Amino acid sequence: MKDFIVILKSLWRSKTSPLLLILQIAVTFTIFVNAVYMVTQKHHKVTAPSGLNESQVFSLFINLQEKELAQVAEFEQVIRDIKQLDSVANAIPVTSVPLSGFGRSVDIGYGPADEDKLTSSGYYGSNYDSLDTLELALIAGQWFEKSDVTHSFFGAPSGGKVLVSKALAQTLHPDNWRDVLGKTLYVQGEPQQVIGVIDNLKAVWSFWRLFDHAVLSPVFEVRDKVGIMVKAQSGSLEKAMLDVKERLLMTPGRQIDKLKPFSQTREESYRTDVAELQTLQLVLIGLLLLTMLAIFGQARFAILKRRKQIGTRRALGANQLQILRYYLLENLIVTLTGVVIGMVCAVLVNTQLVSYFGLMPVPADYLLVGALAILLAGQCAVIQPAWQAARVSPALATRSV
Amino acid sequence: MLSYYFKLAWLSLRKTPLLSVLMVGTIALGIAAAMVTYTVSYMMTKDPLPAKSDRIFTVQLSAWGPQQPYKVVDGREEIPAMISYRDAQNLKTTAKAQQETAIGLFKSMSRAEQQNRRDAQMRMVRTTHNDFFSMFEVPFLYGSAWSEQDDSAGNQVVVITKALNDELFDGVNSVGHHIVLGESLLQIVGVMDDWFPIPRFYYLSSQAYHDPHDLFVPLQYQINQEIFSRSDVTWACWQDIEDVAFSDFITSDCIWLFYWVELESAKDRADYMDFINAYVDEQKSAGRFARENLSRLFTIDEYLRWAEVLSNENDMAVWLAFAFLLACLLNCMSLMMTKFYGKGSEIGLRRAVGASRHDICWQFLCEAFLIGVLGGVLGLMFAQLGLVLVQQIFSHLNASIMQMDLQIVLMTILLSIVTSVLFGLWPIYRAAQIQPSSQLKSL
Repeated sequence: MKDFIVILKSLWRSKTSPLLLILQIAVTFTIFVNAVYMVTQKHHKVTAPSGLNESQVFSLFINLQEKELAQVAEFEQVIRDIKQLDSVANAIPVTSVPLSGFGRSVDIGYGPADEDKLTSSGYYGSNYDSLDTLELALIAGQWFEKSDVTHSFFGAPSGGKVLVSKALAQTLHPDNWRDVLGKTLYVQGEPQQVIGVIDNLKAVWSFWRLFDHAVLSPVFEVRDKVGIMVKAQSGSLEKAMLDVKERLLMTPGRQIDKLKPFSQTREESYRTDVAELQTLQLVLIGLLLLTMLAIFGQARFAILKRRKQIGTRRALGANQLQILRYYLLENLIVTLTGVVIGMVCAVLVNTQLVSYFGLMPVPADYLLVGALAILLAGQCAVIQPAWQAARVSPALATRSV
Repeated sequence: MLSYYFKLAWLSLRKTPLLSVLMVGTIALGIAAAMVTYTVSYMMTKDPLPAKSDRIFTVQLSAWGPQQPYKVVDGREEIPAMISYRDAQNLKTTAKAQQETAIGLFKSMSRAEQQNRRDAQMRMVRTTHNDFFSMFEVPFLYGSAWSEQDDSAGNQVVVITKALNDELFDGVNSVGHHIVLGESLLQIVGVMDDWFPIPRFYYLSSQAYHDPHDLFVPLQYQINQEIFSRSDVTWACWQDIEDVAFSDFITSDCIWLFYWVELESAKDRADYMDFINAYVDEQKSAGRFARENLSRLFTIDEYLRWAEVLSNENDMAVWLAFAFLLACLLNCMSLMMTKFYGKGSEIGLRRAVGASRHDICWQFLCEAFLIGVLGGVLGLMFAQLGLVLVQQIFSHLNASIMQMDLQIVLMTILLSIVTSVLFGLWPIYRAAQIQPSSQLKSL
């Protein structure tokens, strides 16, 4: 450990270049830890399950050409027509498609007045078959009865039943989300009885803070343009999409819009997130490469400059291992200083990010793993020049002094 | 002498391959990062219509209802970017500008006539006047725009893009063939050649970097057919229009059209603004336009800035990328220090046999120059790779905003050379300071 003092002294004597390196490591570390954390968060977000059977479900929108009550009959007939197709397992009317970016949010509270509002939520109206079609997981309470299903021209009339997503139940009852069962919930000002909880159902906007909040009602809506979600028989998604299109287009004047598998809806929904994720990853790789280069170049320079000094030390009896150890230790000191400063900066920057963008604070293990990674990278970069230095012949020293 | 220095520089680079690769690689990395972001930012903010950008204007009218402003931004009343069919029709019939066109949109099932019914697809259909094509300099591959007469009668004619022509007709001349829109048959009169105005300035800003829609039909056709896709296009009304007939809808103050005019020269702007103000006054006396007159004209650039398509946020990424380049260059500088320091004895020897400091500087400048050239070339390759990656990441946007033109390619190489020489100056200065005697002693 007597090297330690010597290293500190020699670093102190030529401050500039180690100082620059420390600065660079600190800055890299700050950016690196925060960016890695953002990447993993984004990664979690884009890979999170949507709660429904993504491989078998597709959605479409069609126009309804009748008016008033005949329009309801027309819609029901369309759903029946689709269900009769061989390649189709089930089909439901929907007010909007999860993750699609088009839909509505409703005010949620335990009272009818504005000030009773507790939170907001995504809203879906469908029918009895939505459990089977979307393969939702009911984790508490019970499903709708077939007799609960009704239609409306907008929203759900008061006094009906609803299911809520677990995340919404947790927001309403942080201590025990099961308390939500049996409660009368005001959805957009209309009282509805909560009869069950769905494990996972998302709203339509993936960028929404309350993306996990959803309410499902057994009231399907009839409008000029309506949504349908279809579950294909397993393995025949593409055939089912073609079949449905062909069947529906047998009606003159029928329009089919946004016919796409749910996997595509999902992909489009997360497109900006995925783009950000990949850009961040590119930036990270660039930064890491650059820091490695910097450490490498700096270490090489430091060693080249001190060839004679090394020769002298060798001539005075230091063995190769001691020389190697000296430079590894020197690098460790410089990198460690950089990392410590970087840690402080990373936490400072992170608290700013948390307060400005509502990000989660970086957990401590990210800091530790990041620190270890950079220390390791520094040691890797320095091994080659240090080994070269250790092989400097002692004769070099005797020649020039 | 210069060629000798270049030869020396080349030999010197070859002598320390690892260090040379590191130097060139560092510069290349920085140059690539800077140029990828610069390319995207430059292409995104290019003038989409350079020949006419100062004499093409979009007209925005203060036509909102009396109860409340259309929108309030920072405490100031804001007027809509779109106008009503009624006003568009009035302006178009007056024909005060050299060329003018309204621009609307609807959504419809569409297919080529020979295609099976089940192959029909939902597509967006652009509705406009024939001036659209000449004003915005749309190139035609086959046929041409529809006629004045088609415009006024709302004939069943359609112009399609090259992409759609390739998809439906395998790229052969399809003029005279038919497209089925909904239940009616439209004759193709023109096929556009590749045309990707970037940004796509003439309609809503939200899709400014998407390709133009595939089908163009006369606005009057949409009116004749009474088509309005209320759930698929952007529109707004200050009156209640639930369940109104189509004829009432188009005479209402509901806004759903953009309106663009081309004047003879930029000097006519004030004249045309007077005309718009006179029109507003006339409408006011007829009982419309109850609000204060905030009507205005926007050039393409003014519109894009107002709609926040062009913003300073794009510059942010470029600044960051250039900061990254700076970091790379600083690193390269320290590598060059190492390099030149290692050549101390060579410098000493050359100085001893008569080379002046000046000569040493020239020799190393040549080396820095060579590093710059190599870094530039490699950086260009990295940048192309980066742009391909970016194109994959942003595959939903028009790919041409992520391609370099010749100007940028040359700029890349030049930037690399200039910066590496610039950042080589300090190491070179240090190298030239080396005393011949101190080095010769150790040989």
